[in-house]
Amino acid sequence: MTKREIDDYLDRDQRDAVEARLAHGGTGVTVGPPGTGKTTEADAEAALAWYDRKECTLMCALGNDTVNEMASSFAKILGEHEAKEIAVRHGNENAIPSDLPINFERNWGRIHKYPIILTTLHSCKWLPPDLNVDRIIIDETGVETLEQALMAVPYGIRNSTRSLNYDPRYDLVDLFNDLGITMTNIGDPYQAQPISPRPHDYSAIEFFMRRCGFKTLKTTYRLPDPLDKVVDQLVGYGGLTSSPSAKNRRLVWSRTPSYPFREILKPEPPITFVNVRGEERRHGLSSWANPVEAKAVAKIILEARSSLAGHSITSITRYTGQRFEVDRCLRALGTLNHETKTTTQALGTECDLDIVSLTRNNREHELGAIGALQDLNVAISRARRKLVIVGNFEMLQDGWIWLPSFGGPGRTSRSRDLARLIERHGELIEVPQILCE
Amino acid sequence: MMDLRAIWKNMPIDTHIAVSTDIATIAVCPWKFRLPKVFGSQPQASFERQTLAGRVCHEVLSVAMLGPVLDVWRLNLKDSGFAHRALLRELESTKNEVLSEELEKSNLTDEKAAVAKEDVEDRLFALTLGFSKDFVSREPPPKLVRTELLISNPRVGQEGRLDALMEADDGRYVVLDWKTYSNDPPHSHGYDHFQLVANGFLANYRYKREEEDFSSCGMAIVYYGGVYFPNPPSAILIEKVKTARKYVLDSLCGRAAPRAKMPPWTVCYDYCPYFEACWFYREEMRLSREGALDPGYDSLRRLLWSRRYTVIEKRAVTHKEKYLVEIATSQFGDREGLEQLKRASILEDGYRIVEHDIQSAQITLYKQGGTSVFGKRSVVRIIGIEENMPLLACVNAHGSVYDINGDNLTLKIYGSNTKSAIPQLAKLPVALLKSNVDLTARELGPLDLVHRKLGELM
Repeated sequence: MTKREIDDYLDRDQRDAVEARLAHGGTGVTVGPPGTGKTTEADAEAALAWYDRKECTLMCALGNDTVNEMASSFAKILGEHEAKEIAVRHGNENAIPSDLPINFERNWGRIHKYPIILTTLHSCKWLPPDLNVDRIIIDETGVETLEQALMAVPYGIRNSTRSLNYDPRYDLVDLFNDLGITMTNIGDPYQAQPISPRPHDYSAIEFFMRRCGFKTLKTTYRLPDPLDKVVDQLVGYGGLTSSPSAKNRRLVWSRTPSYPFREILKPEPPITFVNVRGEERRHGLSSWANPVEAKAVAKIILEARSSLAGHSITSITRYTGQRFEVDRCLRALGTLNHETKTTTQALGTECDLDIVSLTRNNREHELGAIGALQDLNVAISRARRKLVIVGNFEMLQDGWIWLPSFGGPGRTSRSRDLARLIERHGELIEVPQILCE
Repeated sequence: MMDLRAIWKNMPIDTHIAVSTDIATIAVCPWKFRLPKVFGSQPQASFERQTLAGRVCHEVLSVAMLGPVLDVWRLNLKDSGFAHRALLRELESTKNEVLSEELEKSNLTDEKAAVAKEDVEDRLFALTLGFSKDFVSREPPPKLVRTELLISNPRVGQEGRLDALMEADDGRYVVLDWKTYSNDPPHSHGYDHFQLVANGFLANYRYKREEEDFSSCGMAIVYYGGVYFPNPPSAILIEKVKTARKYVLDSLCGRAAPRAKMPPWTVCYDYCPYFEACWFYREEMRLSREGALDPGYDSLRRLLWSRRYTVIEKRAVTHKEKYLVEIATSQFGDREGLEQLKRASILEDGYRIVEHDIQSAQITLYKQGGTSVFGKRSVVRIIGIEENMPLLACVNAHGSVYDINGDNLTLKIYGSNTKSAIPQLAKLPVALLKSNVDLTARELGPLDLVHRKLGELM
């Protein structure tokens, strides 16, 4: 594989980012809005480091799904045979799908033979203790806390040279330089927040963005027009645009959907809001469910599966309670092989049809966790062809979030911006009665 | 009406649990507890114990206690030599099975594997010799045996895994500890003794007695050289264990714990796997007190400490459900508390095991109407409900929901006690309690490493 062949997979932004990382070393950050090819960029950096410089790389992420996605992307860029030769997957065997294009290895002796090792951050502990790599690449650092990102660091220490005097500005990035660590953090601080007991804890990417330079990728290969505009304006990425291949991507019916679903699943516009006024219900100690909304989502999924052959369909919600509720409705309707994802699980994934369940519906318009910008962003930015949001539109229009640190009602949610953008670029339809029965 | 959800929301993040082994470690040296559990230090490689043989022996005995050992015991053999031979014969198949699995998982060379195998044979021979002499051929067989029993007592913030608990017909019970990891004998007021007393507290809690009431609780440590029966703990010893428990909880909550009394330096140098880390942090503390730390170094050190306490808070959150169970059951009583927990959707009962496979560590539960609380990948504590026992002291195992099919729920059990947990759960009605995976130990490790690398550069 040559540099040019790998370069062919990259756009200009990605190429610049990879070249900068290969040229400068040290600690660097690449911010990648949804669908901009963060994983491709990470894989390209690791592959080029090996082919051009014979440098070994440890590639990590917090979740198994993200690491598996990195492995699949490797096979796309290098071809399956080549990917198998140079990359190996390590970690929890139970989380490895049978069709993963690279080998799984736990044996320390054999792991050493591969120049690129992919594993989860929590599994780093089980890597060979004498493993030493030239480069560490961590994906999805928006969802990781600083200490989680540090889990890969022991394997990247190349030397211990004190190069700076200890002044008050000396910090972790300087320490990494002194230890000879080359680390690339890839992620998006607007797509996820780390899980932490502290209410406003920062993520690893936010930490490193404040301390070293970062590049932002601007071309999305996932979001069709005008979903790219909605996401860009909601978050403020400053110019996120669809690639020509994604711009006009739309749903293609393999069979015309039955009457009540035709309006919901029509290819144009790519954004549809289905207005459902189901009652929210507490689930467990800190989660929520909305049974009426769950029924509607389950029925849309069922119809989409039969009328959109070859399309991938994902249902997303912020709440575990609603995830269980939707899956329960699907099981009751005879569908066993569909799994609803929470926004945390959906991170790094994409699908043709993205069905979002808003879940919360109350008189006070308190949106709760789904009102956070990061969760809204992840929920609406998984779609390659169409986004369907199911919920009460008034909740979006007047939503607010309760912030414990304020001790009062909190602040207005960015969902209000989303409501305005949906009115401008999408379509709002009232739920057909049959969906809620 | 008490709202569990509101209690949950307002619960302070100090829901820590002191584990019996930590309490025992404090008896040896408080810093030996703090270094791995608060600072995140890893033991030095040169002190790594040969744990495979110990692990195998432990698992073999835990599994065998529930079947083969009891079978031999019920034969009422009065000749201890005869009983010992019978025990070894009965243990053979379990031993071979566990050993081959462990060897497959390990990265040992053939030579080292042969040594480990020999070590297992030797230790099992010695341990069963003492056990058959002092228990099987001398005492009547117990009415009930529980092995690898995890008991949580959030009322006092303690948790521990009992190697074995044997219940006699007259209501008395014996807490048994297998000392399989070392050939050294246990000492009075030493690590093993403290651990046994701490586990005795938990056994007393299980049988709804005052934790310091040892009138019905016997204790024994089976070790390489025989069986050690400590005297019932004195008031001083009980107080020491309670003080150690408080020290653990104070340290984890970031409260000022009393100044640690250190063992002699020479003992540390020879025997402590955390000697280097201990030296480093104590030296750093001294420099900090003297104001001799560089400002850049100091600010980075503060950052690392702040992250450490975030991780430790995360650990506290993983225990919150246990505290809620305690609040519900102490306020409403066992039965009504259970109802409250069900209403709050953190507990679901009415399950029974319809299928289990010990090899793949999977069980299938059935409940009419299926689950309305859990979904795929939910992490749960699987509790076999025992009559008149506190919920968190019943037989249990940890697992996650693997598949849901109608009214059936397939769970994958994880942890070191899968082989002994499944047979114990199989005969009981089952409840599922929402739980969490605690991965915080892995997150503390790199913070310690970065901290010490920083120190090295300084």
